[in-house]
Amino acid sequence: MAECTPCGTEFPSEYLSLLNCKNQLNTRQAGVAQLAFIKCDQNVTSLTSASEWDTIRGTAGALIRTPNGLGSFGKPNTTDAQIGCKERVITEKTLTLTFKTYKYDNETFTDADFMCQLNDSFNAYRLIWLGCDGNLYFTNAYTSGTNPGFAMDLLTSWDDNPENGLMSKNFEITIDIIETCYSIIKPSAALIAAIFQGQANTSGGSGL
Amino acid sequence: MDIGILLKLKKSINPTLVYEYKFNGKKETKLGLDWIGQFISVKRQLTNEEGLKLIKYFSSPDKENQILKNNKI
Repeated sequence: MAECTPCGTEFPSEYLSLLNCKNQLNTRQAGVAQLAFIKCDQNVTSLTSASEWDTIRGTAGALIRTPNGLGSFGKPNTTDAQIGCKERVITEKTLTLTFKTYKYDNETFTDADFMCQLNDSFNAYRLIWLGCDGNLYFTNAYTSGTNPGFAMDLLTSWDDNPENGLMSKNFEITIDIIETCYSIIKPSAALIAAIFQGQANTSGGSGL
Repeated sequence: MDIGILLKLKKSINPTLVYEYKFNGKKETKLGLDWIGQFISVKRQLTNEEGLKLIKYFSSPDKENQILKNNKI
């Protein structure tokens, strides 16, 4: 039998007492609304400073966003190993996030280059996302002055082009979460606008 | 910072009010909702003592307490 010795110094803080008496307020809307890729050399002092995100967005290639869409993730894939007669340990834990958007640039068709460049350069970027619940999801390893995004093990994107109907741009992203979890904050409308909506600096074209 | 202190801090901030505060050496003016997000996102960097100072300020903001003295984070 495994020893009854906690590994860390902290114990899980339960949130039972924080639940609302109205059960509707205790549920959370599922889904991923939008992805943002932050260049790995970008650090954020204050995650909620809209002006800081304005600066990042103004730096060519520093912040790359997808159009709005719909994404999801589920149970992480894990690999474990037996390290004792009745003792196992998780050795790998990855989360696969899938995302789909139906929004295309039908004027200049830059979406084709975007996908190609992102496939080539994803490892220079860190991922955060906006949930359909309106919350911002970022790595819990974030501390002031670091990059709040998740490093991606793998990113692949492609166009689904069915016989009829609409084309969709798809992303499948794998994140190693063996040592990290996600954190959540509720951003103000101004913060959402600064991260996910404002005009980004795309000078240099293939800045990805 | 203990979860209990974080919760008290969260309650002391009105999410719809705008606060001006110097935190981490940087003076910012932003919505209470954004300050709450800021403190949630860096909660592990803050000591209980710093959390209590923040509660004191955000419960009754005034010029004297506007600057967080301990900005080691």
